[in-house]
Amino acid sequence: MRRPNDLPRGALHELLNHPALWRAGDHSHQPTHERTYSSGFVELDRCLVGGGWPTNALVEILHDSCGIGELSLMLPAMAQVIRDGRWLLCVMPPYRLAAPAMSAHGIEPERVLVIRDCSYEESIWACEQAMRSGACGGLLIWARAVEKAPSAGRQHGLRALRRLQLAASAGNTLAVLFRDVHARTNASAAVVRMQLRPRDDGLDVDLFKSRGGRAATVHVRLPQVMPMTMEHPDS
Amino acid sequence: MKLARSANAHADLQRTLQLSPKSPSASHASGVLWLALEFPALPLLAMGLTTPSSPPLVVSLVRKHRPQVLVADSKAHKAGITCGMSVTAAMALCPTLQVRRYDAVLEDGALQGLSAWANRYTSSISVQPPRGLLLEIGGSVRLFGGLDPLLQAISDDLHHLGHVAIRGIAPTSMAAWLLARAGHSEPVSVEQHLASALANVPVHCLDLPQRALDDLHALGVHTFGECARLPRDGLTQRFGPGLLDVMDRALGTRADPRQRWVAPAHFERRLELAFESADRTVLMRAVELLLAQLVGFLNAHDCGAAALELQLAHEGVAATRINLELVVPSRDPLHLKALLAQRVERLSLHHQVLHLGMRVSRLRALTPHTGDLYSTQVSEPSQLSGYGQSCEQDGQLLIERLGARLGLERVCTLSRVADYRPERSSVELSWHVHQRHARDAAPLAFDVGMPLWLLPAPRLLQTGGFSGGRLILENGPCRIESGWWDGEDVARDYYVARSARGSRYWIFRDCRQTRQWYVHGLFA
Repeated sequence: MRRPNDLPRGALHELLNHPALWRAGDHSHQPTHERTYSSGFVELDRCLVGGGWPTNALVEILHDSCGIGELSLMLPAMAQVIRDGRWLLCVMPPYRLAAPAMSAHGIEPERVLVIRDCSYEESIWACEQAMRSGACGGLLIWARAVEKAPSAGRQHGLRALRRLQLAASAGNTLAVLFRDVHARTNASAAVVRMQLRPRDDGLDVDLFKSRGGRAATVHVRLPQVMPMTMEHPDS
Repeated sequence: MKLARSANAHADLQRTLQLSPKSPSASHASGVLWLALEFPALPLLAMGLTTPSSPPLVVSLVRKHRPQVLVADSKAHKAGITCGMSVTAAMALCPTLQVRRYDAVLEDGALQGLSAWANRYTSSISVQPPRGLLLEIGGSVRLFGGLDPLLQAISDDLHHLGHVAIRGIAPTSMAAWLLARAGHSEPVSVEQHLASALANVPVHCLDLPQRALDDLHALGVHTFGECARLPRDGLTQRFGPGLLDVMDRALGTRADPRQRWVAPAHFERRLELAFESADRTVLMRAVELLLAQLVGFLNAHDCGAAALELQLAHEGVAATRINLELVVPSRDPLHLKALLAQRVERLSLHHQVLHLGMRVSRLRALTPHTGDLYSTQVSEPSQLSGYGQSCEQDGQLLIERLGARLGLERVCTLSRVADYRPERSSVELSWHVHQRHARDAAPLAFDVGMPLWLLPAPRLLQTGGFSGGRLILENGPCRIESGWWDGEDVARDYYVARSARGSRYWIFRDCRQTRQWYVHGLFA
């Protein structure tokens, strides 16, 4: 009988390098994501497969109230998207984005497209178009876009997520969906899911689903809110 | 001959660069070469667009006081109907047969449309009545990477448009036309071979009067070659100077000036539907055919369409109109088709469409996309590295595509305004407004301290439903006092406050009237 050790070295090596085979703990060589955008937070990058946000998968971020830093978590990656000369599309944001704050984060406001007041069909369609186009590097979607009507039920949200995930898997867009924490127990087609909890100096990121990776909780220090200064930039 | 003709100049460049110097077709790249195309089924196609489900159709013409079948479509052919058959016999063979009378005006319109289309391949086109086009393709051979790829592209394109063409290729236009009529599609590229190639062309292809033809046959002369062997002065005496003239032009011994087709200043084309329809696929097919002509027209003028109008004409009621505004002028048929498809799909059509019309309401010069000569890789939108100009273009296309469905006014972009009042420092402008007045706003001092989210208008803290318990002031105050010049001056002390649930708010106290607390933003 031949023991596994007797296998020729080349064959084993070939087997281990097969793209469909994933070994736990091996984050360095991950064939699943073509390219990742660094999140800008070292601790978080370490937990994400491929060392950053995936560009061919949907990322779902759950948080229970606005204003805890959920957008700041995404902005370093989005700034990279803009530096690449690509566009950022926001679908149904809950408030108005402040252009001065965006440019302070390194995001050219002219590169940010905003779509509001869309029907369910329209917003999903717009997301698909954006992901199919090579120009749109970042896509931020808010839950209102994928929830048709309260009566439509959970099933509907799942179908929307499946469509988004399908479109994301074909493209190279960093697509992020912001949702309420209630959705945590629902089934979701998103490949990376995480819940955010506010802390004094930042966020606790509870990464509870990550395809090809492991669940983890990391603390992310967000930059402190700077007090405004009234000095003129030229002085 | 302009070189950068095709929509995708970059691909053309690639093609030109790949042309191997040893390719046999390169030898006559600089010489004059004519492609003659004859469209025998043109009277039928001029009747309009047919669909696979439409009944068999023939075009009739009265000859010798009897209506005869001039052209029959494939379905009629299958039923056993042939050209030249009397219409009554054809009707007997196929009871569902639709018969249309030959219409010279429609046919001429169709030929004009084809001339516009041909501008994709060459700028020197002349119309050869009744059903022919002559294209000078010698200058285009290099651009398309050889004669064979060029001919292949033309025949694929024609096939896609539903046209059947018989071609002839020769260094003189007359010879090309005669070869096409005789059905010799093999290219003759050298003038020395002309005489032998033309020798077998039957004399009836020469467009002679019937009497002259009968006389030639009586003499035992059936082909061009036999005709050319006859003494020249005798030929002129018998048949007049016309015959010799045609032969000399064909052989290149006499100059053959052709009137060049000139693109009209405006594009306004109409496409009939052979059978009225409200089917979206039929309509889109018609749009596609119109776009093929449009692209040729735009090529001829070296322009892009900035605004298009599509009209769907109904019987008895006003036409349905679609106005398409483009962010960037375009002459890419696929892009224009995708935009129009969005609009046509969402149209609620209550009436059948008789014919379609397309008009360019605004023409703009195109800013050509220049490829990098030294770039090692072709930048594709799907590639992650090297986003550059192509990304810029893709972005415009994306905005257009979104705008086509949602309406351009609903696709907004963020814009900064140099104003210290936070609610005025940032606006969402719809894309075309933004394009028109690109604002120039210098960064202001307080960029750093502003939150990412702004409420549309400040809300009273107590009633705003935001607090969720006690708020702790984290930093502040910071006074903003501005706007005295337009009567909406504000004086506010801004603070950053944190709620028990971890949200950070941007709140202020009005220093002027009420001294009440407001929420103005969230530090997301």
